[in-house]
Amino acid sequence: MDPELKTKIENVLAQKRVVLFMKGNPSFPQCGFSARAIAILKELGADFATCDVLEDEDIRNGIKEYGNWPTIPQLYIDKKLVGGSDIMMEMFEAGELQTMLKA
Amino acid sequence: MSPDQMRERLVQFFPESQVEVNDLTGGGDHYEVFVQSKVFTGLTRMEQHQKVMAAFQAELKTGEVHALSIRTQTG
Repeated sequence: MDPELKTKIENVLAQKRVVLFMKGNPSFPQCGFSARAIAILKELGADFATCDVLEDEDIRNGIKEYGNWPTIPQLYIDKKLVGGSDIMMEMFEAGELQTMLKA
Repeated sequence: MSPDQMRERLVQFFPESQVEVNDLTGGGDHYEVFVQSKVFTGLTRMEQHQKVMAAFQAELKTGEVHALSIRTQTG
């Protein structure tokens, strides 16, 4: 992938330990899956950054390639892809996301 | 993509597995799928989902399948 775009994505990932790539922002998610991801992070009281992919077409396409994950939202913790909203929900229900956030 | 086409694709990618397809809106682009397969053995949840998404790579890219909710199970 384009090195400049890769750096751009890595700069976003460096903002916080927990970063959510989503459609819209935490106050106004633009898709049901992004809304669900935000609801989970808020429920857990996580300190997280978000990146609105609708604001940046390069990141919107680039992030899919970067983590080999074709859909949005995508949750990253410690610069590693954790998964989309289904995985977040499963991990939340199993108590695994709580553990990861505390680690 | 019709629910039948979705199911066919899953069967093709995951032979000898149990698959379920649920068209969430009736519009043929918001789907929920369930796959129970031996091929998931030893894979993380993320890797399991990646395998399912790979089956619809082209359609996810074009937006023909806009939303894909996935549940996977080993076995």
